[in-house]
This record gives sequence, structure tokens and C-alpha cells, in this order.
Amino acid sequence: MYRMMSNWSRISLELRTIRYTLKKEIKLWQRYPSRMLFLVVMPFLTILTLYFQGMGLVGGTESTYFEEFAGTQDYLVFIILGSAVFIFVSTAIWGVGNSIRREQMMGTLESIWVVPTSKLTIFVGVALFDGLFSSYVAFMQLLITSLILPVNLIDLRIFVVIGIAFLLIFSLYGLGFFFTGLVLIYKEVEDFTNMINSAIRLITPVSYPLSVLPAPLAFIALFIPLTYALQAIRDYMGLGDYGPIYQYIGLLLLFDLIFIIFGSLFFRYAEKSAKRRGVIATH
Amino acid sequence: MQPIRDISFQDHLHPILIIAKYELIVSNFRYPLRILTRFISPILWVLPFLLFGKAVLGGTDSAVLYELTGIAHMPTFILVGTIITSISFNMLWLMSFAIRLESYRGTFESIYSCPVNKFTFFLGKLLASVAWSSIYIVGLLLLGVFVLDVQFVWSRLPDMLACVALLFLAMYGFGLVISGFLLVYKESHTIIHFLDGLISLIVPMAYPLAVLPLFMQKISLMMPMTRAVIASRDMLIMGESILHQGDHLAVLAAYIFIAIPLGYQFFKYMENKAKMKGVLHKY
Repeated sequence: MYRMMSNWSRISLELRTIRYTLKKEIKLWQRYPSRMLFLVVMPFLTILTLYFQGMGLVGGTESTYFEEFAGTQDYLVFIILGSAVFIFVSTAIWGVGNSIRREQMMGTLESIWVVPTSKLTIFVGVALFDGLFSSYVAFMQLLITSLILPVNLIDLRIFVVIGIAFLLIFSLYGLGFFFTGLVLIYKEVEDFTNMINSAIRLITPVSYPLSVLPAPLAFIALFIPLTYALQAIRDYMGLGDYGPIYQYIGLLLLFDLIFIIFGSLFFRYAEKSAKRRGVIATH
Repeated sequence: MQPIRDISFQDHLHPILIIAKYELIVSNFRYPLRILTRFISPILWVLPFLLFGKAVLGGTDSAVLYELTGIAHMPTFILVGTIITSISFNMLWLMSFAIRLESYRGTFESIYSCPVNKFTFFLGKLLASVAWSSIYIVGLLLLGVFVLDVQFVWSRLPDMLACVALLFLAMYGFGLVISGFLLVYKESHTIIHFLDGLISLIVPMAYPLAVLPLFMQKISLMMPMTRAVIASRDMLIMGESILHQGDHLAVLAAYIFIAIPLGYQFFKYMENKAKMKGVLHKY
């Protein structure tokens, strides 16, 4: 029957699936409200940890050495912006990347798997929720830090920051599809996800500029779109001079395309492989 | 059948060893990605603090740090803090997740119906945690010697290891409380990640205690991890004897003699509560 439908009817059905997935994700978050609190508070704890470390090492929130590396003395604003954008990365990896494992843990994987709709459509629903949710959390973080720490990041430029972060998230969803494929093959990947999350934070300029990294790590960072998103945002906010912003936007769009294609292909391979081995539903 | 009161010491020891073996070997080889993450995680834990320190200092020595602690070499200062916190977190995860993870793995019912005391069950997890932590300590010390050029008083290493042994026991009570809490309130990932973040902030891992606001200093000094971090720095970096760490050892001893029995009682109370509410096996 699906094959006999017109293209518009098919698109309408896919959109309905996305809407219901979105609704389901909202319900899940309402079921576990402490997660929301956790996501808002947790990045703030990381910022505070580095703030205290800076205070213990240089006695203030500015460093002349930091300016040599990053183009700005104010390491605190540098970190806050980095952490706000990193929320998009974390949510994408944990949200889309672990969505299958989560369904498996909740005992709903089989029901979702036999629904006559594309798995990628379901992931798009999860991804859409993650994008909106990340924007909210990032905004809250900038608001809280501006209220508590000696910085002021609440102005209209925040919307441009979130706009650039949105360009980043499509490539992150490609990464999320890749993780979903890994979950199908290797199952318990929570620890691995945690490790990749920490590794991305380590080798991208979230808390410190790229120039303090050893050369091999800095080279890997060039293949991670988060690096370019952060440089574009910091350049726009006047924290260093990283070159024209349109170059970064072009690069982010290119990364979006490559990551989405690669992630989807890997997921399809993993799904086929898991079906052949009969391990889709196993733990 | 042998009456239960005639069980020998060896019979008590056997389940502890079996649980530790299951945690260390069986579960890790079932999910090979976990082995990789276990080895890389401590490095991912320490590097961001070192890189951030390098970014704000432009090198490795800090006059402000020296003024506050008498230690100028930033990597040496941070490495001791991260050794203690990484083993504390490892233990916290393994102990707190002990029951919850079984629930996820689908082995909860089998383990819960075994005629083995839960205290014994947790001792098995503790043993596994000690084994992993020993690997972490060796790995991080090697990193310090070969990469970071740390300046330790090596003759005080046995003193520090004695302090770490006390920390293990002190953390046991901590783990029992959290594990009991998770039996009823579930949402383990959120709670433990949140605790990780909070402990990282309060425990003076990467900065001296003096940079924290006064109320946080007071809370911090009540934590066994803080006492172990400060005592370890005094011994391994400043060369003081364990005999001069009376204050810190007293707090650790208090946790051992008070928190373990209280923690076990709390666990039993929460277990009964979970049974009464009928949520013991629920997600």
C-alpha cells in the first residue's frame, strides 16, 4: 500500500512519524525530570571547575599567556562559549547515538523496529528534539553563567551563536547514526560513548585553544566540525581573529553532508549485519 | 545439605572472588569496547586539566599555586589529585551501579535470588574496583614520570598507597548509600554523572582548596576524597610522613567505622522500601 501512495502522501506520513517521535521524547523527559536539571547544571559544574583551576593558577580570570595562544586574555568567556556549544555535541552523541540502546533497555526496541517506517525517520525525530533541547540548555547555561560569574553574554548575538551551532548539529547527527550502528554491533557502548564524548572535548578547542595541543591531536581536531563552529563563534564574538565567518559556514555545510552520508551508510551496514547474525534484540 | 551457620571463611571468600572475576573478566570480555575505554578514560580525565593549565600559564610553573600550596609545578600538583579522584570515581561507579547494572543486563533476578549476602556481593565489586584502580595508579604514575616530568618524593609512595587503601574502605560506605538510593529512585546514570561533576568541583583535584568559597571548603573537608587528595600531596610531593596526616586519617577512619555500618543499614532500609513499593526490579 505504501508503494502505491503519492510522494506527498509518503512525505506526510514520514512527517507524522517525526511528530510522534518528538512527542515521545518530550514524554520521556517529563517522566525523568531530574535529567533536565542534570543537563542544565552539569556543564556549569565543568565551567566552575576550570574557573577555580584558573584562579588557583593565575589568581584571576585573565591571562596574558592565554592571549598568546587564543587571541583573548579572558579565558572564562572562552570556556563558557565552548561549553555552551559542546552541549550540542553531547546531546547528539548521547541522544541519537544511544537511542537504540535506550529503547532496548526500556524493552520497547522490538515494537519500534517492526513499525513500517524508515529507521532514519525515527532518528530524525530524535535528532530534532535533541537540537531544540540543546538550544534551550545552551541558552540557559549562558544565562546562568552571566548571572553568577563575572561575565555578560546575554545579548542578541546569542541567536547567531545558536544559529552557527545549528549548522553543526547535522554533522553531529551523522556521528549519532554512526554510534547507533556501533550499538547494534557492540551493544553496551555507554562507556565507549562517554570516552568519545570526552575525547572530542579534549581535542577540540572547547576549554583551551588548539595551539596548546600536541601537533597530532591538533591535526585530528581539523577533521571535527566542532573545531570550525567554535572558531566561527569566537571570531563573531570578538574572542580572537580566526578569519572570515563565511568560510567556516561553508566548511560546516560540507561536514554536514559528509557525516550524514557516512553515518547513514554505516548504520545500514550495521543493521544488516545485526539482522544476519540475529542479534538485533540481544543485550 | 550443609547448614548455613557452618560456612567456613573459604566459603565466604568464594562468592567474593567469583563476583570480582565476573566484573573484571566476564563482563569486560563480553563487551570488548569497555576494555578499551577503561584504559583510555584516566588519560582523558587528566589531560584537559593539564592542557588548560598550560594555556593559562604558558608553561608548567605557577607562582600563585606556589603561594597557596608550596607547590609550583602544576602537572605534579594535578596528577596526584586526578589519581585519587579517578580511583574514587571508578569505585563509585562500580559500587553504585552494582545492582542497577545487573538490572540493565537482565541478570538482576538471578543475582538477587542467590543465597549470598548483599554485603558479600558488594565486597566482590569492591575487589574488582581495587584491581582496576591499581592499574589506573600505575598507568598515571608512568604518565607522570615519562611524559610530565613530575617531581615526587618516591620514598613516600608506600605512605600514599596506605592512604589510598583507607580511601577504598571509606568509599565503601559511600557506595552502599548511593546503591541503596538507586534501588528506589532509579535514574542511575543521571545521579552518578551529577555526583561525578559535583565531586570534581568540590574536591581540590586540580586547584588548591583555598580558591573555593568558604562554605564549599567546609563541605569539601568533610569528604574522604578531599582528605585523601590533601594527604597524598603532603606525602608524595612535600615528603611528609603518614604519621603527620592525623587529621586526614581521622576523617577517613570515621568514614570506615561509621559510614560502612550506616551505609549498609541504609541500603537494607532502601531495599525494604523498594520491596514494599514493588519497584525492586523496575527500570
